Amino acid sequence: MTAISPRIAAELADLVYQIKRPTKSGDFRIDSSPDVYRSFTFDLSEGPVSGSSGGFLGLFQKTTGFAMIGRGKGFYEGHIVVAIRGTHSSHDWLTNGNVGLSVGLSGSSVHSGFNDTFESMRPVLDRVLTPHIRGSKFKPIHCVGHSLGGALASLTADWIRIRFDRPVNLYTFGAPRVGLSGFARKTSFGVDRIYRCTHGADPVPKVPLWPFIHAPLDGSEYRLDNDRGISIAAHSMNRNSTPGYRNTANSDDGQTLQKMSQGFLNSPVRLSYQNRHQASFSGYWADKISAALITLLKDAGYYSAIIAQAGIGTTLTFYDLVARTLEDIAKASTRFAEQTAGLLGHMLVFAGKVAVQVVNLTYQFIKWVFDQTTSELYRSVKQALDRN
Amino acid sequence: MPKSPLTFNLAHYTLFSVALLLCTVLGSIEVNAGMFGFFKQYNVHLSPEVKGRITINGTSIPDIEIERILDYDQEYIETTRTDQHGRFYFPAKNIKSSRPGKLLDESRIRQVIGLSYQGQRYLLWYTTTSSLVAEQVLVEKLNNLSCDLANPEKRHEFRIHENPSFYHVILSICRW
Repeated sequence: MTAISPRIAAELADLVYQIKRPTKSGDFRIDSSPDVYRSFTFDLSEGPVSGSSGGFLGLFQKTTGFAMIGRGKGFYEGHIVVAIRGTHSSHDWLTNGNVGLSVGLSGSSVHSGFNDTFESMRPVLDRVLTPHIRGSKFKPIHCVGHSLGGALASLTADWIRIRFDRPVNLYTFGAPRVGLSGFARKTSFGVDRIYRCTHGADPVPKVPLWPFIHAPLDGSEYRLDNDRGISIAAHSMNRNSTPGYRNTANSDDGQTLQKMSQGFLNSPVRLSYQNRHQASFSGYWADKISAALITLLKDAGYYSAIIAQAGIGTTLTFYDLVARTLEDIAKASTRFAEQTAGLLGHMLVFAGKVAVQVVNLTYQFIKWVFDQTTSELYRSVKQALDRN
Repeated sequence: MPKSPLTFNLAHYTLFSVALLLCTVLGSIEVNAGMFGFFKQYNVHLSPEVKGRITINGTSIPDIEIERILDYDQEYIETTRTDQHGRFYFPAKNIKSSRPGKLLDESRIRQVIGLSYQGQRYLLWYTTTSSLVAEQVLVEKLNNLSCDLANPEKRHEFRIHENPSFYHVILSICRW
């Protein structure tokens, strides 16, 4: 099944940011590139843009999400693209650490904020898409989005798969995790092709943390640059940013993109306290530390009990439970105590607390270390922002 | 320095949620931006100088209103009128804005120049850019808008001088 090129996918994710209301004199156009112009038609004759009737809707805006729908032509005849963005107000969902969960359409736990936004858009998406789901059943629908828009595109792909029984491809740039393992599994197996594109230093794909999981389940992603560490600028979509997803995805062929997988989710990671100094403040270590925590819970036989609680309540109550469980695990045996110390030691180094020794493994200690980590992070993030 | 309520709540998290915290902390920082002096103002170039001439079938149209609408953090609207030879002019427009420093900002600049004549709307210029500084092609083209109302509106595609992998796409009745 044909996928759209990375170049076109990136432009579509970018194009939804270009869409503004008509001017006071009613002027509105889409200044898409020659590539997109040749491949997709965005008819704006319906919807809030001009308010007149007829045609294939190009655009609408409702609550905190915003989508643009295009119909394929030429090489892409019969295809449909849905490009989605979040709005400024919905960015709260990315910056709020306490994540609530709700049950998505396919019956799996997903981020409640993302899901609420998607649900607010769904009736309009349904009304607009339904009349145009005709022609070959084998022609795909491409869902595209950057950042929060990527999360919404993922929920949209899941819905389209159930609602229309058409092949679906998903293309995301710097998107956060959307749901727990059930959702990731359904997306992995239900969506035909997943292009999860990231930059090495983009922090957004690193949140929310486990038990949230990216699709595909094998942990693979298209890493579009070789950067490391964590940098706010690495999240930008536009061509005037460095690196800017428009620049790094500027390829005609998905085969040329570098596909990689850290595979942490599928292999055990046990961290030794003596080796903690190899950790650093980076996306790589954020993933590895999460994997080490999962391994520890599995080794100690608590994983199933913990994961059963994951879909209940919020990440705050979940992590509190995990912290208390860690204390119990550390008491169970010397081996587990060492493994817990190894994990905490790496977390401290990750947070820049190189000199701090892990001495006792109480819940209170974990909280204390946590407070130190918070202030350290606060400082480094402030630096990252000051650089702008 | 007082902690924000958001940061206080976070104290309940365990250590491994550091990346998650990063984003939470970012949120707090944005809220508390005043405290840290993040209301930095950036120079944003919205439009270069605009010079043009309006004709219909080659005959100049004097004293007709032209509108320039620049859209970024808000709409900046200016109007001018053509002289007896159909010529018009807008100065360059630069602003100071805190928008480029905002977290996760993806704002674009839209430049629209249009006029209404005998009940018809004509677009002399419609394009969007993510560049906060002047771009050569836009400067050159806007310096010489030759607009005959008898021309149909057309998509004009020019390679971006500063980043030739991409195109400026301009919708306009003008010709160069």
